[in-house]
Amino acid sequence: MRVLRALAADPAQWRYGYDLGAEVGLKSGSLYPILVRLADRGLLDASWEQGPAGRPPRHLYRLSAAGREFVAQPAKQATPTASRLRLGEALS
Amino acid sequence: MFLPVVFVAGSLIAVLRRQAGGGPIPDGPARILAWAVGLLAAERQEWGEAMAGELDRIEGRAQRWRFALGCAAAAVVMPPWGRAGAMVATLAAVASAGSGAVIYSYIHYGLGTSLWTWLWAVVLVAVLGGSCVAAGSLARRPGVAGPGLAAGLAVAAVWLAVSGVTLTRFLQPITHFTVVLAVTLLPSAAVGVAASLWARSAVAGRRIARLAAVSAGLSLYLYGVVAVAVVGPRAEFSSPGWTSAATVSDMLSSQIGFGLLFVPLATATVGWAAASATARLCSRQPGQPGELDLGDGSVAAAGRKPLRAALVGGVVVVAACLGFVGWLRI
Repeated sequence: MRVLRALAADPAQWRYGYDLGAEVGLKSGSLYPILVRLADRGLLDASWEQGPAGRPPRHLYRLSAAGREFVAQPAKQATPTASRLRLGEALS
Repeated sequence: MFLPVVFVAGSLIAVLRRQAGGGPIPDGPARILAWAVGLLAAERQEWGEAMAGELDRIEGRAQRWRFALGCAAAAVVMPPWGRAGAMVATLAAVASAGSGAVIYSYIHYGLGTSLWTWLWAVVLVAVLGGSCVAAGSLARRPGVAGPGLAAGLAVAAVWLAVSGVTLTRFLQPITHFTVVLAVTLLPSAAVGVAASLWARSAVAGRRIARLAAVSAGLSLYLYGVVAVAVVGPRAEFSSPGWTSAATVSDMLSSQIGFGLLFVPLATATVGWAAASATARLCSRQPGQPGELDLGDGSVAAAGRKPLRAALVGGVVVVAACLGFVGWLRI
């Protein structure tokens, strides 16, 4: 969820994998499997940024439309739970 | 003594060849990442390129190592594994079954335990685990899993045939030096030659030889420790003054050393050298500069004549080996 939240902070912006990992505090060994799973589920858009001559291209990531919708869903679901909690606190 | 010398010589040649390759030499992180990325399935190659592209922009030795090692770990376990998954599961089952036989022998024959026993157990588990990981990384390369497993089983079959197949005879040491030399060299060399011709690639040929080494070693390890567990302390395997437990302990050590050290080392070294030599000789044909290599090592559809020749040659070599050994043991 940390990766999704970081991507959702500015959904239109393309992000580098290394910068994203540094931002959410994930090492590359954890970050890339997460990115692969997100891409497999269609939650992530990826594109290539061509580098200078003789250097490999860089991969860029951002949330897809489905990803933005997915990130928005838990927020909607969390609202009633929070309301119930507050109601419970008030009753007790 | 012979094998370590060959192994060291082979390693030196590999290092010199790498340095003489020309072009910029990638640093350690780039090399380890390139190796790990090569394990990825075709549909995941894009992710490997993404990792490599990211590593290229990272400055600082420590950061590069951290990033590369993390990516390498992710790439090694990243699915799908295809046939390699089934193969690693099989080899892991073989390794576990062998370890079960070792534990059974320890309990059944009352072998004592000490700190050294536990240290050896840790080393044994590390070697078995390392063998399975190595087999997995080799089997994930295109065109390596099937031939590597088949070649390993063939090498194991030759050793079994030479030793006499039955559990008791398998435990008896082969006393003829010529026989040991022949069985050590011929099947492994045949594997290397056939692998290079089959895959039409020196790189794939060497990988097949190494996978054959691991699978042959694990198979013979299982057979050997099961034989010890079943046969137990017989007088013919004992020395004067030895207890039953000491005899079984010695037999176990011999079988573990044979299956997990001698056979893999011999098969990998000789097979690697034979695969390289075959590729080098084949490349001397007109119009084929450099080492024989057609892409990533997947079997080319064209040019099956060398394949048939390799198969026939391999069968002839194995048959000759078996006949020679059978003649010597009579």
